[in-house]
Amino acid sequence: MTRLDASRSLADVAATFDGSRLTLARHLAGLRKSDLAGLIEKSPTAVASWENGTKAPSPATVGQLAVGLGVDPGFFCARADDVAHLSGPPHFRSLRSTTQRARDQAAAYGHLAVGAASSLERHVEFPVVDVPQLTLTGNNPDAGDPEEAARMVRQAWQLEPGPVRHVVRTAENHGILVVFSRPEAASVDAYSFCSRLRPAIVMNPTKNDYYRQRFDVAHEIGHLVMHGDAEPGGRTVENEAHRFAAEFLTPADQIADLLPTGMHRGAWQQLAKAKEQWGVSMQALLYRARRLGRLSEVSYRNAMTTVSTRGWRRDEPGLVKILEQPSLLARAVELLGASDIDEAALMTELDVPPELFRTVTARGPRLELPATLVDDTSDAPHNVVSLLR
Amino acid sequence: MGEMDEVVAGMRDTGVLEGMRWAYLSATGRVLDDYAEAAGHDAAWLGLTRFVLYRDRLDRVFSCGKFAVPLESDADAGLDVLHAELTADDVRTMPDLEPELVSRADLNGSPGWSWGSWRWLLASAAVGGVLDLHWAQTSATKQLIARRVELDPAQGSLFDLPELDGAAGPEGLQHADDLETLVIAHAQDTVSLTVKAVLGRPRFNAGGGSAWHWNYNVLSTPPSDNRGTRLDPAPVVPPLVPDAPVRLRQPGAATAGLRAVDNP
Repeated sequence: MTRLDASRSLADVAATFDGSRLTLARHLAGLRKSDLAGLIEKSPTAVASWENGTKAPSPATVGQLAVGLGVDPGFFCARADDVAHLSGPPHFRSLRSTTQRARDQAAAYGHLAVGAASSLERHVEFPVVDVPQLTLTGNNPDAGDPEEAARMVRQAWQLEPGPVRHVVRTAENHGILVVFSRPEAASVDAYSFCSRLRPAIVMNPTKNDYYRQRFDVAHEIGHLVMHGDAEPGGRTVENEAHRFAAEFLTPADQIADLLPTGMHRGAWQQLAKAKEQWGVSMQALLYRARRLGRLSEVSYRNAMTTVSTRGWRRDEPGLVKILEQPSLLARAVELLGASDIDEAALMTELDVPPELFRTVTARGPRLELPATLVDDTSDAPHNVVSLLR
Repeated sequence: MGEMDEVVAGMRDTGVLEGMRWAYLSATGRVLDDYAEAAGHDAAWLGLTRFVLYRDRLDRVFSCGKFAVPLESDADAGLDVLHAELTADDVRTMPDLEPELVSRADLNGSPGWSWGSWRWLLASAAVGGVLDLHWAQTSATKQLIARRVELDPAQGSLFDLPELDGAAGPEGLQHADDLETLVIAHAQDTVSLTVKAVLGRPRFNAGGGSAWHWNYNVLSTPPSDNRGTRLDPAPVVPPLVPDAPVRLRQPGAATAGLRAVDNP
């Protein structure tokens, strides 16, 4: 629903209209320029000119855009920072299985979250950003490797030897914003991006596995540390982030002796114990054992066959059933709430639509699906569902 | 009711046909996305990739093989694994089927799936040849399947078995089940973008005649409302470690610039 803020007339909004905010809203809605143009019966060229700032929409058109996209007109007002402009490209896992619109939508969601955090920083203090930047250049043997990068980050962050107790909190304590994404965008797995405001990690809300979630977050930390300037989505970059995560969570010199050297009797108990101790799935530990030379190729393959047969690829047995939860934005909202600033006031202040506000500030995943996904009779013209409805 | 009507009605009512259809459209869609003749891909790559991806998608939609879930687990377990590398359209249209509806039932090393007393295997074909497959040119297992009706003692054998590599005769069908085996013949043309998939009872046609006792166009199955909207929140409890340090900038001044719309 569009909320009207009486303090800002359409004329006021038109006078301070920022094209980048229109682009942000259009991406959140999962629309092409031509889709939006059709919705408000204007030309795609006109939409493009509003977005790139060469023309300004009339007050009446601002109203049409707000209604068409499902945002408050004030959403289009200029902000201190254009988050998209200040952010690097997001690191998505697979560029093949997601459409450009889905990726644009996911990126816009991340930018919205960083923008909300940035606005909240007027009132609260978050941890200072402290993410080492170690650029790897694949063909340069002197540039280090992902394992070395992981060890350096553990050292820089002064992590004690042994398991990382809470990966999300470790990231947050060093200034990284961690949020869950909307379920409509779950086809885009966890992703991250660097930003001059604050680096961010967006987690997949449907990954309801504590151990794999931790690995995902460590993987994204790897991107933020190593791949600020790298072209996202490539196999090399993804492999490097994977290796970083493995070393970050299970340093070779600490885990090697705990891994089985063959799938003999007791190997599964050994893996299960290491899993609970280190918070890493047995599949990841098997891969680690293979990579560290503890397991032969044949033993590894046989073990993975067993994993499949037991249905563990989708549901591996584990004791911890709760996900790690982000706290930065949730805590800020709680603190401000204690100062008599309720959600509604914050939504108005930040101009974040209510559903998105609740999702970016939540401690856990919010999985209520919008009617357009539940109701297949919907004649939605495209397969990217708006996050603004 | 004939055999085809019985099989098709049962598979349609339970969602099996829709699963077959979804799996094929998802697999061939990905094949088309990845195929690049200029990169060196050829017909062999196409055929093998289509087979591998169709097998993968059938395992996904029916929760078989590496996408199986343990008996005691929720059917929605590991949705991120189930949905990995699928397009948003694939995820949105994936039928929501019970994990125990279909099981893997390989035959002589050929991947197979079973529903009730029926099993199906996969056979690749040319787009124009789906209905005119020459079973004598297919694997020994499929040749034996195609001959199975003729081998039924109640119906009598119409002709002698030829020598087949790796199988000495009907006993070469190394299975200890009583499943009746069908075949899905599938094809894809990357130029005309045509895809075909038919399910049927093959008829051994070395001596001429139809390749099928009966067949049904799997892709004609209309999508049902049984879509993949399965989302189940993980249990959430208060955090086990302290929150990241967040504090008000100026105690008592936090409301500056904020408008409490409900309490102006």
